Amino acid sequence: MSESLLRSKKLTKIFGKVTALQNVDFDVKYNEVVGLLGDNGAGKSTLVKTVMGVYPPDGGEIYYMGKKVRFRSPEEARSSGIEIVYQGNNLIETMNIWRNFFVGKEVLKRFGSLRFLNVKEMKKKTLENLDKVRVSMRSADEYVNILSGGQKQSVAIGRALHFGAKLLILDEPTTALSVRETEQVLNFVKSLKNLGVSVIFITHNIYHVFDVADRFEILDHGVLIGSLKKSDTGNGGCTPEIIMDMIRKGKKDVKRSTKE
Amino acid sequence: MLKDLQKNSGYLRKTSFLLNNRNVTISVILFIAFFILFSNVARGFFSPSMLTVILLTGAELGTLTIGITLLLISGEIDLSVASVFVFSDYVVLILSSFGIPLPICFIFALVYGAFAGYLNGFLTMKFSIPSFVVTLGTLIFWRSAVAGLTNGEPTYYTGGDSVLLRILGGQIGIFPNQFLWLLVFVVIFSVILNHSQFGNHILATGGNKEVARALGVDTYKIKRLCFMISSTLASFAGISYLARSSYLDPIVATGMEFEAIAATVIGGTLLSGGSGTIVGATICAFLLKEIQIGAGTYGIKAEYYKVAVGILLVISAIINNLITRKIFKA
Repeated sequence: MSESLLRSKKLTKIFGKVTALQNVDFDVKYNEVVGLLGDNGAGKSTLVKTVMGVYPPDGGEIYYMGKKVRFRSPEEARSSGIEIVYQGNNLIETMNIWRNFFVGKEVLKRFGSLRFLNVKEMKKKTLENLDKVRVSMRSADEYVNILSGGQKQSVAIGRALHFGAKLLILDEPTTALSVRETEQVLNFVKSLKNLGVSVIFITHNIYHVFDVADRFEILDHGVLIGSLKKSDTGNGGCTPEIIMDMIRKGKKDVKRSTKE
Repeated sequence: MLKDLQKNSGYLRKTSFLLNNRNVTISVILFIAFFILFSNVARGFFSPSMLTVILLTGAELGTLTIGITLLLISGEIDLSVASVFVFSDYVVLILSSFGIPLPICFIFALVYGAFAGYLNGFLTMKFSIPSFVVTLGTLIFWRSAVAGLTNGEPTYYTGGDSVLLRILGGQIGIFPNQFLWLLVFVVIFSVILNHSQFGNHILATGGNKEVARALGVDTYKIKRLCFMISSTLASFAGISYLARSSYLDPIVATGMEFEAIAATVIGGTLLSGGSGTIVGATICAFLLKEIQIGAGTYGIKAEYYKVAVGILLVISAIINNLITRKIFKA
């Protein structure tokens, strides 16, 4: 399967005098986990936000499932199956898990002409879906604010999957997590591939993403400076150290080395 | 790690249970405790007629607390309920004085209530002003309008008797009809809050407006509806007050909005939104009225009733905060 699920062609975004993205050719294939790497301010978030329709692009094209698209809002992208999961930002803390799961898409049952929440069904589906992402919760009644950072993300991801997400964008999912929680998150990212979902994993920590990603794209100052497949063997192969080096040296170094 | 998890989940279940039920439990215990206390110390408190008075005044306050609870959960507040309460009475009085049939007057009063709520919601959201400020404005506006229009004097209902008056203001045994109406409202709105899509959206809106919106909840609509429910219920309480008393004193129900908010908070609704209980708030409405009437019967000056309300409010806010902090790890 070499066809892309999502592809950007010469995507450009300019904020005033700053070129946040410059002719970025980026793609994610079906069932692929792509690590999107780069230092702070490299344009990682700008790239996904432009794709999601938060910012309108200033140039270039976006293709999704083979069709040219231009999302005007994140809601539009979401309804097409692209879901972005921010850390702890997608859930309502004062609600319990099953209510969170089904906000806006409640399962209802009829009672004459009235419609009520089908609580039993929603609880059942919530637990089933969390099970799919290998998170076992004893009860769907628990409040979200008492969950750990990793559990919160798995709830958010479980929800996205249940409602038909095909591409998950995880924005720094491991940054503020403990070692153990990071492992949990990485484990379920691995399991996502079996569910037929593609993932863009945004981080600046190669050691978090190296194990789970198939391919790495490195951004610096709005320019895609490198793309490495984990299966690459030539030119020293693909190791975390090489990628780390690319992130550290950034755009200038790459330019210099191509001039030489 | 497993031990950790087990320890944790036991803790979670315990705290979830507390979060759901603590205030209802505490309120019921307090209600019973005060009832026993006053029955023993206040001569004449333990009588059917006293109970009727508690049920009647508690029901009026309770009707307001339902709306306040929904609004607080959605993340807004309504200070204008008591003013809408009296202005609704004025609407009925003025229309009936023109010879308009009472049912139509009542419908107009309720429509006015819905409009007053719509106005609160519109001003709050259109201009992004805190609802505290907007409804403080409408509190003063409607109350002063009644005072001005009636010249500050009591106005009597001069229309004829009507079945409607008895349905709203009558009494069955020791139970005032207002109390029975309140029970109906409590059931309806509790079901709406906990078992309907609208209720789920109220919880979501108050919990986190931005996330709720991102998940497709029309938070403006939800809040607007909550404002409208709150004012319409206030209007209903107003006209049932008129049905039992047949006259309007423009200073009646002054400060009732604060009693309603106090009852709601003591009953366990978070001022920060996202969580609350209608049953708890309603029981606390009766609790406050019980204290007021009990203290009055005992011979304590009426002013001290508000002292007690103030103390209860602060204590329950502190307890709420402590428990919330434990649960929400804030």
